[in-house]
Amino acid sequence: MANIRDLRQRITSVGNIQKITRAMEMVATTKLRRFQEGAVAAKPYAEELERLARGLGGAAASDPDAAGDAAGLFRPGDPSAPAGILFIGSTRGLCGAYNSNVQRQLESGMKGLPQGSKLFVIGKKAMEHAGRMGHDVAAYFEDFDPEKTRFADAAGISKAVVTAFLEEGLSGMFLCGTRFLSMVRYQPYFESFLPIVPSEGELLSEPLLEPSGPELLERLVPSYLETRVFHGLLEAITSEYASRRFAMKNATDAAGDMKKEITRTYNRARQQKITSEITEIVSGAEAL
Amino acid sequence: MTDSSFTLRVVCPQEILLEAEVESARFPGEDGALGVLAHHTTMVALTESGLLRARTSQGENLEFVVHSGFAEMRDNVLTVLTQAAENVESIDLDRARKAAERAQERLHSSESNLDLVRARAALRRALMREMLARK
Repeated sequence: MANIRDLRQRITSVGNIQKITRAMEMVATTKLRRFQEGAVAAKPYAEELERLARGLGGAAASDPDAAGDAAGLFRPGDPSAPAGILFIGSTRGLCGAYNSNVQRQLESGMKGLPQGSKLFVIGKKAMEHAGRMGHDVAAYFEDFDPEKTRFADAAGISKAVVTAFLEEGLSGMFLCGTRFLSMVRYQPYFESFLPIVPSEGELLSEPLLEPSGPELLERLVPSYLETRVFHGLLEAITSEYASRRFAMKNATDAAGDMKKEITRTYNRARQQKITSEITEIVSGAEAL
Repeated sequence: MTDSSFTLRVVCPQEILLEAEVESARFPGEDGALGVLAHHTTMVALTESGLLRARTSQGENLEFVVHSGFAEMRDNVLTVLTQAAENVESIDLDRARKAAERAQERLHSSESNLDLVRARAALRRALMREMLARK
């Protein structure tokens, strides 16, 4: 039977841990709400822009004379060339399975890609993973703070990735991150980012363009890609906090259970001690 | 929906600012203002900083400041996608003026890593807001 004083000490320390995890849970809940608002609000804009870019892209991609960077982003690269992946993980830990889930998604996605594919990494934990697995890292956006995602940051990252795609002859660019579905659902994904796949079928039938097609694409396409990265980053940080909230809630609950368990043992030990003391006193009194 | 009206949506990254039935709309295109009536042919245009005006089916006038972005008309829905937009009535003149001053300063400072294009765009936006709010 464990020592009573030890038990008392353990109850206190488990209680302290519980207080900490509960505080962390509350912080995560508040932050989650804030990020969630941003991510949800950005969604219609991102979707509309995507529809527009892919809808218009059909015409641009089928025009062989189309010059300029924007048109190049619709053209698939050499399929045997290495690809690039923009890999979004977290910078902070204590967020449950968030990182291992997205890492698993990355590994399974990379299996289908040619050797020598490069990573563009966001988040310290993601970088650590890349180092562990020995992946080729082309860029690590170290200064970027996911907690303060600004559109300008996303634009910079998008630009870096696009430049790499155009200049290094990559076969494609992928986006690996986590999609935020609801407070309790977030799902890692691995999807194609570049080249842009024009939407089929419901193409805009001969739209009136103002100004001309190439000029419009030259502005539309970067906007679309930047917005997509921006939205991806927002969803990632929102998912991270959803995951952290969940992990902290579990930790708090587990600490509660543990405390109950130890308290029970403690009470039993205490009771036993009292009983044996009484027995001693009574037998002592009888001996007199 | 009457036959002479169409849906106008103003969407920016922060929110869907407006979704309304309107009779006509005018927005700042790259080469001057463009007007749209119901059943306009499918069209995609660039927008610049300026005033988006629309007249609702109830005869109400709507005014928004929009900035660089895209406008798409199709299936009788005009979608204006813009980085930033706001209702003219809600513009804070003081804030607009301060933003304009800040932008001026940034342009005149000799910061080496200054993003000239971005700073100019910021200045243009700020001036536009100030001008419209003052009306």
